[in-house]
Amino acid sequence: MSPLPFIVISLAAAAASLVAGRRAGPATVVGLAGLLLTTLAAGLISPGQSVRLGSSDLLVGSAYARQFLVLAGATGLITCLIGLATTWPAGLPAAMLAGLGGIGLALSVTDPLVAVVVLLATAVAISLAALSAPITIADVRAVSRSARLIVLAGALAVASLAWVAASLGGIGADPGAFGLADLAIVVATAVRFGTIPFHRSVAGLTNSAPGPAVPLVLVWGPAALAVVAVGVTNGAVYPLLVPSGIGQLVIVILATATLVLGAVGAWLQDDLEHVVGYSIIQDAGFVLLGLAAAGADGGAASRSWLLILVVVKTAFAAWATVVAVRFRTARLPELGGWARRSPLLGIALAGIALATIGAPGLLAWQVRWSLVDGVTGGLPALILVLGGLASLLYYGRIALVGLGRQSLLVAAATGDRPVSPARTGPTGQTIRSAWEANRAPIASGLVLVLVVLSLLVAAGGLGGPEAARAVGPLAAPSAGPLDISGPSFVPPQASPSG
Amino acid sequence: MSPFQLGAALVALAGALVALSARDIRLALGGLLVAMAVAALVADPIPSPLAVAVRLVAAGLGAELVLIAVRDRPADASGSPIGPLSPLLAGAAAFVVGYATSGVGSPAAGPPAATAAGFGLAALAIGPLVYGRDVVRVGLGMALLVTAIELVRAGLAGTPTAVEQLATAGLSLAVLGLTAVLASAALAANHSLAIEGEGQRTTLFEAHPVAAGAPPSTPRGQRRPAAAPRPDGAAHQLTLEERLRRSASEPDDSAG
Repeated sequence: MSPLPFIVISLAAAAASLVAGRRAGPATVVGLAGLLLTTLAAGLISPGQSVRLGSSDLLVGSAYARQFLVLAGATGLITCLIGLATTWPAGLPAAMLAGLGGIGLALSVTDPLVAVVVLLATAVAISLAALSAPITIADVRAVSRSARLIVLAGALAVASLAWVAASLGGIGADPGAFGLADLAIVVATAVRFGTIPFHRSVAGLTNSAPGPAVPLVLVWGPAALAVVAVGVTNGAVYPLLVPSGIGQLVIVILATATLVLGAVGAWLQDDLEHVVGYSIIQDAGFVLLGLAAAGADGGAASRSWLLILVVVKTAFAAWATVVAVRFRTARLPELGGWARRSPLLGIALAGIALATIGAPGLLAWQVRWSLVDGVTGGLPALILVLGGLASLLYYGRIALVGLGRQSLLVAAATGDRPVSPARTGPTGQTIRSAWEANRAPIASGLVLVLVVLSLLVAAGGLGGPEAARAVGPLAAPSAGPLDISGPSFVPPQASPSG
Repeated sequence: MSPFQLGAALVALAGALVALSARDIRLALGGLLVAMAVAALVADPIPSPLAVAVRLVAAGLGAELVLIAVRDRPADASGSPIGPLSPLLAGAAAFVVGYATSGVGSPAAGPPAATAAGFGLAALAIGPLVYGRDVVRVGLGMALLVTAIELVRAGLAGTPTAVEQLATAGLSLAVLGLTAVLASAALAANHSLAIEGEGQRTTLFEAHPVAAGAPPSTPRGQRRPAAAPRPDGAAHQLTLEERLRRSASEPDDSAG
């Protein structure tokens, strides 16, 4: 099946969810059903199936887009269910569906310029998911700042892609222009992820956005842009075309600062939502390394890491949401003994840490080493590896707090043990009362499902590595002006005559 | 360069200048609409009428959304804090730079006027985007930057395809729709479009009004007695409108 049905279903379901938004019940049902249908439709996308417009391919299905969309759809559905059991942001399913539709379109089009414009429009639209009632002026300010950065990053990406397209369409282009243009695309990706030093808006967004909306706003959209960036640069341009490797050096410095300072930032934060935000920033450092890595291996590793990032960070944000709702606080100093009170959430945090960092034999571990090896060696590589492992600092701090003495708030919270409802009324009422009485264990169980999914992806299951190695529509031979991956491509050199 | 393209580029620049300088929000949105509509024509070859119409409709719809969001509210765009002359000069300078550097080291596939207009619009948009203090002004900056970058793209890589024109129309609508929602939210939360710096107070009265003159002075070294609880609870936190409504509904004690 081509990607078209997926896109139509997701956008139609988003519209239906918005229309039904005034009534909570129908909006919830439509949103959840839409997410389920969208996930199923994503799973039916066939690599190579295309939709033609005139004489050229408009949309082309790929194994990687299918994998990305299935994982995003499934984690989105579980996140919405967690939201139902904890804090339900009314417009979340609609925003997720619109986001999935936009990302699906962008990952399927053959023209990278269209892909970036679509992603830009999608990111601007779904940034509204960060607003939830009651809306304060600080929320408006945070979304406005985030939207400004989105537009700036998009403008940078469009301009650089147009610049490269013009060069490849003609002759006598300046080779340095290629390197600068690719550097601009990478910087645009860095701005979208909010890596160091573009991280200011992330803190504001994590403050204002409801927990379940955080991955949609901070991970999915930027990750899709990174996929497009990997597709158009293919990691082959920097060593060839950037004079003296300066571009690669700039990216590696950005990545190093992001890995180290992101971990320190997450470690210093007392608020769990901020910890999640900074952890996303930190892991985006590996995305930058992937964009700087040379060759097809670098591209595959980068795409694998993006899959892991999408699932693991969604799980971490969901975990933080459940902890904040169960214990009525998101501040670490007030969360003493949380893991002893809720062993399910403790196991979930351990799983999230394992899926993020990996272990020898797991895909996440290999990908991290591969990305570091791809760009540098020696002492800089050691710094990068240690920077990546620095995430143990904040995971360890959260775990230590959880194993300590129980605070009053934690002691007052319900445990993991399910409560059986009193069978006094009809079946529907019994189910409803069971749901109401067991929200905490249900939410914790759903987080565990997300963690299991994360571990599967981090271990290389579900066909992730194969999908990451497959050629996407942007790197296909028929990709058009930006096809730089084929053997026939010869980088334009400055002619002797100038 | 064709006179038509040059004229269209200058009209787009003028529209952007009006959008950022006008204090009347309708005039500002009109200027934005002109800039966005005419920008679609600065390309070689000129896009199909359908593509231009789609972009025009998207821009018009987006502007209408913003207008609806601020309708019936005492909200006007703040305009340029430094007047229209400085932005005009900055835009003109960027226009010349864009024209002179068309292609930027690469063979440009589009007209230099598009790059020039794109640079001009970007120079105008950066100010409100970075320093804008109210939602509508920031939104105008974002919409103009999107238009600017599409112009630069048309100047570098040629006329966008029909699909890209559709995507650009969606982007314009998304940016202006976001602006409308944020403006509505800011007005509801703060009675003002301002999002940076000191916004308008939500409480119209001072928090602790001196109702019965200054309290009697306390002799030095002697503790003042604790204030008695207010009989009317949190009445001192009420807005002027709420106070007036309450006083109108309560019986007049002095009459008896």
